[in-house]
Amino acid sequence: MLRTKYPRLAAISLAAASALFAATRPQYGGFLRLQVRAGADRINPAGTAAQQKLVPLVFDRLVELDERGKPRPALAVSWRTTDPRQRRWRFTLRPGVRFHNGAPLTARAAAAALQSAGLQAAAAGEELVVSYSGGISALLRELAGARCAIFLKGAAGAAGGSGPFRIEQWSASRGGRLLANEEHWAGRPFLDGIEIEVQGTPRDRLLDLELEKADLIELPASEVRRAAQRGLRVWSSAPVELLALKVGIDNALLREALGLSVDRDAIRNVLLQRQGETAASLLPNWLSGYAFLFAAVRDPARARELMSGNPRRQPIPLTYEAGDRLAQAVADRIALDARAARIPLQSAPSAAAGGAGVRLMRLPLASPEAGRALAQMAAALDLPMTGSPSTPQALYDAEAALLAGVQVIPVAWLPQTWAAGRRVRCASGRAVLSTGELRLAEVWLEQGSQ
Amino acid sequence: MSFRLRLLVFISAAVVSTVALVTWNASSSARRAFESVSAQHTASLVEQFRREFARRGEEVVRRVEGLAASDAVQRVAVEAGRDQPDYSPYVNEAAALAATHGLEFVELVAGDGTIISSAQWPARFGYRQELVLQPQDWKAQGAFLKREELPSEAALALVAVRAVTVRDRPVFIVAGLRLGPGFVASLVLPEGMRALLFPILDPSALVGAPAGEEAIASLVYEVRGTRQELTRTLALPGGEETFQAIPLFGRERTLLGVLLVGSSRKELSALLARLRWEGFTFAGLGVALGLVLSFWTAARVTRPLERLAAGARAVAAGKWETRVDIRSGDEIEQLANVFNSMTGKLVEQRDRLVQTERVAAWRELARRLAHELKNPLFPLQITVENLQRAREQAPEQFDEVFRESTATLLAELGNLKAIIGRFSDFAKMPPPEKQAVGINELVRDAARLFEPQLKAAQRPPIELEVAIDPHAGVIQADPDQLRRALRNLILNALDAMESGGRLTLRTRKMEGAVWLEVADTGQGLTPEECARLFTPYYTTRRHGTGLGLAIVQSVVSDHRGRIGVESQPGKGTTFRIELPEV
Repeated sequence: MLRTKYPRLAAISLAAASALFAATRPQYGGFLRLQVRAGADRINPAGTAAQQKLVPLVFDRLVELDERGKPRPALAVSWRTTDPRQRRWRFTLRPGVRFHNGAPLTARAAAAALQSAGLQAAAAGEELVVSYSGGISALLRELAGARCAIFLKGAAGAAGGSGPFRIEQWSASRGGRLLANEEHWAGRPFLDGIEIEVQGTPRDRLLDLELEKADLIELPASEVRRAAQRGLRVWSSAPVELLALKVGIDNALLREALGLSVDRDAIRNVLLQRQGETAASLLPNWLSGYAFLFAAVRDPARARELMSGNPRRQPIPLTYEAGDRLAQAVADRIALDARAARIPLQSAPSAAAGGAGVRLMRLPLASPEAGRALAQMAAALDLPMTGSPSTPQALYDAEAALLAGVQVIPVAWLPQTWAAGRRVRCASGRAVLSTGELRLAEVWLEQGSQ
Repeated sequence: MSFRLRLLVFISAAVVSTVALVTWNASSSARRAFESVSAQHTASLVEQFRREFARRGEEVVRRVEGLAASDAVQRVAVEAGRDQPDYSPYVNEAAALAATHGLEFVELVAGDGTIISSAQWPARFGYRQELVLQPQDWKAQGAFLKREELPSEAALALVAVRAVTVRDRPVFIVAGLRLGPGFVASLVLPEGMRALLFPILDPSALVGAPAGEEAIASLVYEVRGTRQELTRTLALPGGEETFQAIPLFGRERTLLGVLLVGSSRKELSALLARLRWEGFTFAGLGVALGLVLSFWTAARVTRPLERLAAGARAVAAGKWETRVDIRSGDEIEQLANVFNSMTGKLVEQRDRLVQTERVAAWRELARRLAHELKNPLFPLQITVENLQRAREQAPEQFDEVFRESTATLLAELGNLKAIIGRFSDFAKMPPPEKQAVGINELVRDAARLFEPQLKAAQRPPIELEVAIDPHAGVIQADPDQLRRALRNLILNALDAMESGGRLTLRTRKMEGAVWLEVADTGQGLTPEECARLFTPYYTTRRHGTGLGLAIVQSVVSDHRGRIGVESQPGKGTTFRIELPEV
């Protein structure tokens, strides 16, 4: 059982200690200008990756992961179980927490939020009871995920959170404005608010950062080195997004040849500028612990051999999301590698996924919990996955089964990377967790820089 | 063919052949002139292409050299000079260099041929660019044509290669411009000309053949086969077009493209069509003019001749007093005068002949009358002398002689009266009273009338043959006059066959007329006798009055018919009467 009170106070203390060596002390005030790649119609815990990216700013979860990926209390201050099989867990909620609309956090509201995330949860007095068969470690990881954020449905149906920032205004295409939650249980954030802007091209975002028109920008992995060369601070997470090919081709030999033709090292070293990892698995090694068992084999000669006995002249479309330049570059390279192996792959942007052909997909980790993440990934790939693996062996078997038919070809793992401007300061040194989550409550802006 | 038609044909042929000759000559001249101008334009355009090609090549070289001197390339070269070079930061360098140096194709290639960065195909990093591995003094090498691989196609490029070397490790810059529609569009084309560039990058396919102009593709294929410049005139949907096809070679004479300089023959076709149209128009006008001229000439030449011919026909029809009045002042007028003179003399001669014949007829009449009257007069004279002698010499017998003499006198006076009556009858031929008359019946009646006479025992046998045409039918005629005429002819025939023979009566229906023939096998007539046969009072018999056949001719004439005679001495005579049906 863990119990941690006043985390923000601890952070401030740490910051104060750092301040002995730092040029500036934490300061309140100012709006942080944040530029993201893609817009979202709303900030939604149960939504897409783009919708979930900013969830931790507005919503709290029962537990959070620290910089090392370890769960730590958040809205839940403690948890225990009396079940000998450890399948029912009681969570004690943090007292005095209020949602942005002023409503108090209750076990009933928390149970409703978790139920909408697919968990078996119920209120038992002041406590929240969650039934889970995967063990407490997996449960805590799952609860730390964005989709398990606690929200309260408002009268208009919109979900309100209790996070360090509240939404003042929001536009799907342009972004929005968040204001500091003065009543946050961890204390008021240093920032007065966050101005979020959708800026499509990485170069424009980078330029805005250099020109100090932005304070924090979302950066594709391919630009990390360039940003670093320009002296910008780059915060990278662990690999949290899988770049993979969904192969909708009936011909098994062709699928195998395609898998053998992909030059993952070239993609990782050049296109990703040595960021992330080459991928042969659906889950990253840091999450599953066994990813190294899946070897990424490249054998163009074997691929050509397979294709020589199985010639194909009709072009096979390799589609990727329109506007995603990194995906375009990777897709072009994969198409080139495939063509060298006599596979007539032709890359082209396409808004729609699915159908015949090959689709290059970005598959973000939907949960810090491996089983849930794998299930979500299988669902995103439209691959069948039976059962809910609760042991590492079962998880490995399930993943191996998903990879067996070469209907999905993992290409690379991408980290979530952000670049910070000169006036951005963070008490913990970096505002991005290993999971890619932004933690801006501990960020302040150096005064006088604006 | 009439003179008028011949004149028309001749004039038309002359005009048409002249116009055709002029049109052909003009067309040939126009074609030669057009082809000469077109050849000049094509040569000018080809020269312009070569100049532009050379200029672009120099431009490419200049830009590539500028690119080689850039800091970015120097940085890449420095990286290449390291023991463990990491080219990954430079993967997008080529695209940036291409944008800044105005080049469409830029590839940075390591010394081992590995592509460091490619502007035209960014994904090609790490692959090989074999071109730079060929031993070559790139610095001295100008721009050249190259097949450039792109993600979805291949392109024709004008590229140059330069090397930047650090620590004996070169980095090659392979860069250039696309040679495509933009390049062709930069050429200044005279009106009616076009330039087409066909990259030959895929051995099995031809890129860029305009839809519906497959003939162009065939020409390109031909050039690809011969690898030589060709000139061909192609029939395209928009009209004929002459193309000069120029093969474009890359390094080692690899055929990479074909430039087609097309010169539309539309203007020539239009010109030739116009010439043809004008030729047809002038020919038509010529024919029309020929028509007018021929009619005019006919009016001048043939119309007097036609009038002369009409006059001649009138003369032939018996109108001998016909005169032709022509005042053309030429030979035709002289001919008309001669004609008029001739008809005048003919009339004069006819009148003279008529007068002569009339005198002859009167003489014949007088002779006949004298002869006829003399015969009865002589017995009268003898009888009166006998009476005088009997009175003087034998009064006792006078009574008896008187009775005998008066009887003789009365008989001879009767003869005189009969003779005078016949002459009187001929003089008083009444006009015919026409009615429907069956010609066959008329012939049969006549045959029946003379049958007893023919069978009379005292005369030599005459065989009668009656040949009736059942189609002869009925005509409008005076039956009494026809009977009289037929009877006269039969009597003539009987007289002609003193020693017997055959008498043939024949009817025939021919072309709106009825023919009646009376033929005998008698002694026949001489041509002179035939000519005078119908002259009144002319007879070949000793006791004939010469009025029988004259009466026959008079009857036939009054019935608007014709009578003819055919005869040969010793073989017989045939009289043929033709009577109109109506």
